[in-house]
Parts: sequence; C-alpha cells; structure tokens
Amino acid sequence: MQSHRPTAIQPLDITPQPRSSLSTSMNSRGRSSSLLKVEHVGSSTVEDLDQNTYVNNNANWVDAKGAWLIHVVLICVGKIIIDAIPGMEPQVSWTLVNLVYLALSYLMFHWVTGIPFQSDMHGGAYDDLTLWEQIDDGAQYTPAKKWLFSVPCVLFLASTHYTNYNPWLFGVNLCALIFALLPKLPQLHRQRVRFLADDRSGASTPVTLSFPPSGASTPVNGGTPPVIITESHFR
Amino acid sequence: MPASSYPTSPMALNRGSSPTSSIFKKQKNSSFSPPTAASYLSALSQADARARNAQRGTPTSTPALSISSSLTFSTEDTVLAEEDTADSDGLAVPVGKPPNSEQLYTTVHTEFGHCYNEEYRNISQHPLGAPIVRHVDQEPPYYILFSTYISYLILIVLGHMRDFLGKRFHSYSYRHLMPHDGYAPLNSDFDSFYTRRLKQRMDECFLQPVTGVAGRTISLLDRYTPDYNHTQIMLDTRTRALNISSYNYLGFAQARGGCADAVEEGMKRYGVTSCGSRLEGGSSDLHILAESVVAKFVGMEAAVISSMGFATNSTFIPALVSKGCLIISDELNHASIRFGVRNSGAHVRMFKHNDMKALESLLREVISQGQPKTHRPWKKILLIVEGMYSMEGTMVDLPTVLTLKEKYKFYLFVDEAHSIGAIGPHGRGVCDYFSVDPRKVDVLMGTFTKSFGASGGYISGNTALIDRLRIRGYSGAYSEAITPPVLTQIIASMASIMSIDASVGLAVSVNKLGLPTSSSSSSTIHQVTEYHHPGPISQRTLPHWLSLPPPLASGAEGLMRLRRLSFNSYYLHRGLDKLGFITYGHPSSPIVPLLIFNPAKMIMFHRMMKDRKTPIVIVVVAYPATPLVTSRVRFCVSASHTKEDIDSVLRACDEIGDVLDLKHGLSKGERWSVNEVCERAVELVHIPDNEH
Repeated sequence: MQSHRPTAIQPLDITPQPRSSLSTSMNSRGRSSSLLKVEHVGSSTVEDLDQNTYVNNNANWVDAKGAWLIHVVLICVGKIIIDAIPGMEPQVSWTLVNLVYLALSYLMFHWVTGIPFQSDMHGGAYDDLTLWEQIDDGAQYTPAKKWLFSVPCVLFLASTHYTNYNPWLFGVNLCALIFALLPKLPQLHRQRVRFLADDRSGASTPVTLSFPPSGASTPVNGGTPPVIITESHFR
Repeated sequence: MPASSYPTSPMALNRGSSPTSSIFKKQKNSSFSPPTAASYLSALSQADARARNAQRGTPTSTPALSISSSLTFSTEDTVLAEEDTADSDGLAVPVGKPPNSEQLYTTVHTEFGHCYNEEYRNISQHPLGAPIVRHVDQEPPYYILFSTYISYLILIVLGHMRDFLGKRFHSYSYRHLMPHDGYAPLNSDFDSFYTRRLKQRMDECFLQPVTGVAGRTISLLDRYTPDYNHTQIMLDTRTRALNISSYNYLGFAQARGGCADAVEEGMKRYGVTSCGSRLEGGSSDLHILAESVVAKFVGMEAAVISSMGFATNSTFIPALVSKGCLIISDELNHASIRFGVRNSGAHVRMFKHNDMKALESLLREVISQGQPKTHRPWKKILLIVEGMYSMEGTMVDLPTVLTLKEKYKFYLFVDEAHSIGAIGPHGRGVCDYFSVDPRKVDVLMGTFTKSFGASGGYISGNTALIDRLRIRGYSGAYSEAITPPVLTQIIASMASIMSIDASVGLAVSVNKLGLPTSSSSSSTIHQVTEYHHPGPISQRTLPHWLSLPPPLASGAEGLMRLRRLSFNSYYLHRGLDKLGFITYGHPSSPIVPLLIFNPAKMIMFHRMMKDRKTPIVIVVVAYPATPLVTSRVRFCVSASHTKEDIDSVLRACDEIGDVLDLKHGLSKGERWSVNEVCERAVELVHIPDNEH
C-alpha cells in the first residue's frame, strides 16, 4: 500500500489501474483524466410526465410568425451599428457580425438551461435542458431547427465573401461556425461536453449555470471550528 | 391618484387632461357607504322631475314613485348630495332610458346597473345545423412583432446586466440570490429572473387591492411606489372604477338583493361553518339539497360539491384516472386540470388548442399504439376540454367532440368553469348552447365563482360515478365541507336562473300498470315532481325557508340577466372588431381578449384606463401566461354592465388605441367610428355568427 498524507483534501483515488508512486505525490485529477468529457442528460418518466403537462412557453415562440425574420432584422441592425464605428473596414465588420451573432445565439440557445419563470408549474422538468433541446419537445429535423441551423451557415458564407477569402479571417470564422453548429447536430442532443470536468464526488451531475457544484462553499482550509453548545451556555 | 404631492415615475403620462378636482372631492368621504334604495329612488325621481321641467316634454310613462314618498330623507349619503359634487365619473347614477311604472328598482346601480331598454337583450344559442366556424387568430403586421421581440430582448439583456453588476457592487440587496456563509441561495436567480426583471416593472397592474363588492363598479385602494414597484405604499383614498375585470357574468356579486337576504336567513339557521369534512360529520341536509339542485341545473343525475374551484379538479381527477390511463388534454387547459392530471399519475398527451383534426389524429395514434413501451391497451382514455377558455374566449366544438366520442369511445370531461351560467339560452352551459343532451357527456364539472356569486365547484355525472367520487375523491376525506352561507347563495342564484315552479306536483306515484301504489320505495318520495331539463325547479326541492322576491323566483330577472350578458358580450366583441382591434375568441363569450402585443403598451393601457374621468380597471395578461408576442387585455363583461358602460369602454379603447397604435384588425376604410358603433349597437349584435 502506498502511504501518502495529502496536505489538502483531495478526491479519493479509486481508479482501477495501478498507480505509480510518482503520480500520487502530485495532485491527481480524480476519476476522469481526460480533458473533454461528453455526458448524456437522461430523462426519466417523471420528467416526461411533467413536460407533457404544460405547454412550454419558453420554447414555442420560435415557431411563431416573425420569429425567423427577427434574426435577419437583428443581423442587419447589428451590422449597421458596427459599421457606425469610425475606421471600420468591411472585412472586420463582417467578421465581427458573424462572431457576435454566433456568440449571442450560442449563449441563448445552448448555454443557458432551464426556464426563467414558472418553475413550479413544470416541476423542474426542463432544468437541465437548453433552449435548443426544448424546442418542439426535442424532436429533430423540424423547420425551426433547420432555419436556426442555416442562418449561421449563410452568415458564414457572406462573411467569407466579404473578407475576400483572407485565410486568417476565414479560419477564425470557420472555427466559430463549427463551434456554434456542433451543439445543433442531432447526434449531440442532450449531450454535454465538459472541459476539465470538476468532479470532486466522482460523478458529475449536470448543473444549471447559477448554482456552483456542491461543496464549492465548503471551507477547505480548516475554517471555523464548530461551536459546541452545552448547558452551561444557558445558565 | 394626485400627482403633485409625492414622486411619480418620470415616464408617467401627463395627467393634465384629466380633471383632478373631481378626484380630490371624491376623497373627502373616504368611508363611502352605499345609498339606501329608497333615498336613491327619491333622488332619481327628483332628478327626473327636474329634467322633465327642463325639457317641457310630455312624459309617456310615470316614473316609479310609489315607494319613495313615505320614506324620503336626504342625508349626506344620498346619491343626490353626491351627484352635485363627485358623480363626475358617472358611475353612481344611471344614464339612459328611465324605468316605467311596471319596472322596479331591485338593485343598487353601482353593483348591478339598471338598464330598462328591452332592445339591449340577446339570446345566446348556436343556430341548429349551422356549421361551426373555427376561430382564426388574426396576425398583426410585421413591425409590431419585430418591436415586440426587440423589446423583450432589450429587457432581458438589461435584466442580466443589472443582475451581473448588482451581485458584484450591490451584493447586500442580492443576498437571497447568492450563496453565502455556507448556505445555498434562498431563491434561484435564474428561475425568478422573469418575476424580478420583467414583471416587477409592471407591478402596478397586478395585485391591486380592492374593497367592497366586485360588481359593476369596484373601489380601488390607491397606492404609490417610491422605489419602482419594490414596495407599494397605501394611501388613504379610494377610487371608484368601472369594473370590467371581475368574473361576475350574471351580476350576482351583490351585497343587497334577494340572494343576499336568503343567505342571511340561511346563516341564521345553519351557522357559518359545516364543522368538518364531508365524510366526517360535515354533511348536512343543505349539502344534499344543494347537490340535487346543481344536478338538476346541469341536467345530470347527481352532483358533488367541493368547497374550492381549483380543488374540485385537483382532488377529483385523481379519483377518475390513475397510472395506466391516458388523458388527452387541450393545450390551454387550466392549471387546476393539469395539477389533478399530474397528481393522478396517468399519461398525458396534448393536442393543439381546439383543433379537431389534430385531436382525431392523436386519438388514432394513441389508440393504435397503446401504452408506451408495452403497447398494451390503455385502461381508460379521458378527454379533458374546457367549455370556455378563459385566456382566449374560445369555446370547445362540442358537437364534433361528441361525434368523435361515438366513433372512438373515449370518456369525456368538460370543465365548464367559465361557461356554466354564462352561455346558453337557459344559462346551462355549452350543452345548452349547442342544444345537445348533457347526459351524453360523462363528467361535467363547473365552478360557482364566476356566474353565481359564490365559491366552490361541482362535478356531475351519473349516480354511480358520483357516489364513487364522494368516497374516492380526496376532498371528501381531507378538505372541509363547503360552508352554509355559500351553499345558500348557490341555491338561491341557481333557483332564480331556473325559475321556481310553485305548483304542487303529483303526490302519488304510479307503477307500470298505471295503478297507484303506496310509496314504499324511497325513491318515489324524492321524485314527486318531474324535472324536465332545462326547465323550472319545483319549490319542494328547495329549502322551505328560502323565499326569493317575485322577480327572482319567477325567473324573469334570471332571464333578463342572461340576455343582458349575451348582448353585452356580443356588443363588446363586435364593437372592438369594428373599431379595428384584434380580438380573440367567440363573440358570445363574456371574455373578450384584446391583443396588445408589446409589453410596454400593457402598462400604459392600464394606466390610461385608470386615469380617465370614469376610471376603468382592467386586467392585463402577458408572457408567460400567454405565448410570447400575444400580450392582451382581458375584458370580462357582466350582466351588471349597461350598454352605456360598454359604450364608455369602447370610447376609452378607441382613444387609447389611437394613442398606442393598437388597431391592427380591420383596415382603415372598413373601420367604424366609435359614435357609429354606439348608435348601431343592436344591429351589430344581431349579425349572425358565420357572416361576421
């Protein structure tokens, strides 16, 4: 048995492969030693029942009239605002529009999970699902999803045209496009990609953005010792 | 609300146009006691005499002077004294055609408006054999939708920025949203985002404290906020406003009248509480009697009453279905239905609102597929629809649903919370409206809150089902029994709608051979008089101490209320359509949603309505109770409103609609002016449904 006395509280090392003495003296990363991890967000029957009970007003506006054209309108408005900055060239301007649109649409559709209201009516059934996964009750290849997939593609094509195929800007745009299109693929439905997953307990639960993982507030370095109350306090 | 003495929002609309003098005068007597009928009568007769002297015309009929002459007295509370100083809002004294000597004053005008013009009446019935036109929601022009999306985007971005910066620089006021001292946050900041950042901006529209009876007019407690709706501070003043926002379809929300007197009598006999749950000593003969009255009203064999409308659905639906059953519910069903459905553990499928083709294809899918994973047949399939949907004002297409029921053999549950008492020539709900036999529906549920001036709900069906529900429903064992005063109100209001038949029926029953038998079986004692649905109820089935005044007992007033309600609904609906607004729903529904679309216009509409010379208090509904772009104002018309009240609402909407650009329905050439609408009211109402 190796005897190691960690100076700080460390995650338990229960990986099956034999550990060399060299790795135990360093801070080991826990169970998962990979940079990227893909996890599936499962659904239970209870969640299915909860989801079917109410119509999801957070997600069904994308099928309403005007919800598709608003993307075009917002892109045009953004382009005009960016062009108003003095000294702006069309190459930089189109790249900026592309990047900002991809960033904001990623934030709105693929980062934030849950519903920002009426959480008691849905019973937390959508708490782990991003807006993309809530659209059309999770069905794939629907018209709304096809539109939302093609808008970044068209914007990318426009930006490569107006940057005159400059290789650096092309590379930047292409990477941004791939990064934004990956979560829209049906294969990545309900999958979460975690980078340097922080799993102290050994099993990572998908958490919403606002809550830190459990134990984040637990004082690690000693903290205040517990106060032991005896009867003498009350005399 | 006086504008000068404390800070208001810098964006407040300039109130220079509305005269503040009347508001100040009104607030002198903050304890406003309603005038007695006699003093009111005398005041009106004197006003009428003055008007006649001024006109010097020959009156065709004499005003009703019979009661007043001996009881005339004028104090500070009479309407006449009020009228000179503070009736500039026109709410306390009726305008319009005065009554003739056959017509009686039975109500207070501020609770139930006096309207003696027989032209302003309509019968609410679906013409037999006419096709049912499915309502198509009108869409606004694109710039409205874009501006709505952009306004929501701006609000959301600003909200997130304020949260972000506030947590860093102002963390004291965000303590409940952030983890601290090892405690998790009290509220999730993401779940409450909408409430804190969007709804709180509009909070002056919501949770308005009111006092007094919510009848034709309502008394608002004025309030102001020094810190952008975070806290609301009450003033000492009241504002009397025209109430087009309460569920009071037949106008039974009255503090004075035949039903109120009956309730007092019932309270003297039965007390104020039932002292227990139904299955544990809280049942009384009044409960049994009320349930039989309700069953007769609805046209079913039996009924069970629960003390709370929401609880009726949430406690009885789990007794009807369980795991292994399927519930097919409309998209826009009420929260109580969903609560009950979720509680029961049954599977749920939703179909697009009121779309019968989608319903049929869903039925074919679920019946052919069976239960998920095992594909066994479902134990039961229950279709739950509402008679009238409160957010949209649409009605269920009951004849089509019944033909589907014949074909696919599912069970049908109709929630008539908003349609019972309000729809149909006899006020018996959607079945009456479409002239179908109510026994074809398996379960009819309804509430007493909207049309009967009471509270609570009922479920009705055949006797075996209701007997089982009494035991298996949660409310029988766990919730309190409904209280006697409310039961008396239910009995009195239903009897006045049904009309009481005072004739003594057959005291002897006959057996099959036509020979009179002795009443050995217990059932004959109860069924001495036959009840034919829809028809009058026999005096014997009502409590013997219940005596309603003649207009109520004969059913004349009940019929008048039904017809006034139908006229008012059609008039407001069609009037708003002709003025150019977009409204949803069936024109016979007393709920009239007027679409506003932009979130900011809602609060402006509300404020402009409240600041008028005749203040009008309205209800605004927005996302997330409705889909994102369709924010709306929801008018709830009542039989207590007169045609002049609806005129004032139409005029107000016309003015405000021009200011806020809300008229996206009819094009400019086809619209009518508001004066034209008011003059051609009767013509508007009598256009047939499918031609409009």
